[in-house]
Amino acid sequence: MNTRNNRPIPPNLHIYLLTFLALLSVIHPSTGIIFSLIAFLMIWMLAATVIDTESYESIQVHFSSWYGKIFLIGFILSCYTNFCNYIRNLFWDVGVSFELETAAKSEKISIAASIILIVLNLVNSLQRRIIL
Amino acid sequence: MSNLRAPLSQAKGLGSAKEGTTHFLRQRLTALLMIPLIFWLGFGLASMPVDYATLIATIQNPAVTVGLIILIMATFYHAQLGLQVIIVDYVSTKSTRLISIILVTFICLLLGVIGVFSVLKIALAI
Repeated sequence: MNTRNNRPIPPNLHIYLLTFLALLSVIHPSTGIIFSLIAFLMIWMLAATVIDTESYESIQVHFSSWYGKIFLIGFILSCYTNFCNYIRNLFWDVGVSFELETAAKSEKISIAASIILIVLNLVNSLQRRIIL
Repeated sequence: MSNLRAPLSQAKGLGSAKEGTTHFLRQRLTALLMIPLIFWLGFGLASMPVDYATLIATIQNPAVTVGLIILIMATFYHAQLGLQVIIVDYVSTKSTRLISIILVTFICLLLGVIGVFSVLKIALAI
């Protein structure tokens, strides 16, 4: 009477083929983690600002360096990818667009919107010489 | 013989945690709050010159102070809720799961408090 071994296996990344739709649902939490890590760095910078000019500048040196710029670009990337996909999730939460076709379409819209926002923000930062 | 307990007694105590949709709702509400604030952060605040005096002067503007505090609180609350979901989804060992959720909660609380304190300290110039 042992039924435990014949139970169906839960959905798992190792078993299922990673489709385009599934890809974004993996990217979404990953960008969330990246955003949290970079938010930690931002708070670090804010805390350094409180202490004095010197400690702020010692942090700012890192933010102005090439790896700091990679971090800032990563911040912008993860921020808007997570942002646009979350708005898509909010539509699902109120019960709209559950059909597979609409979901696939909204995924493309979400990716396009995040790319537009990323480019706009990068251009904005470039003009004001924050990055590069 | 694996179990002598009646089905009802097994089910008792395994049910509702009396929380319902609290976690879900709070995650959505903080997300909703962050929509305008993220635009403000990305296109306004994070795109300004980086010298010390300008930064201090900007943060001391009352509207920026209030906005930043709300943004920091919403961000770390949202981060805690989101990271908890990720941990629940991907960490299968019960003890590791519990410990990481507790750690993430404490770290988010710490970072949020440091952030709010820093903004207040700069804004009030104390």
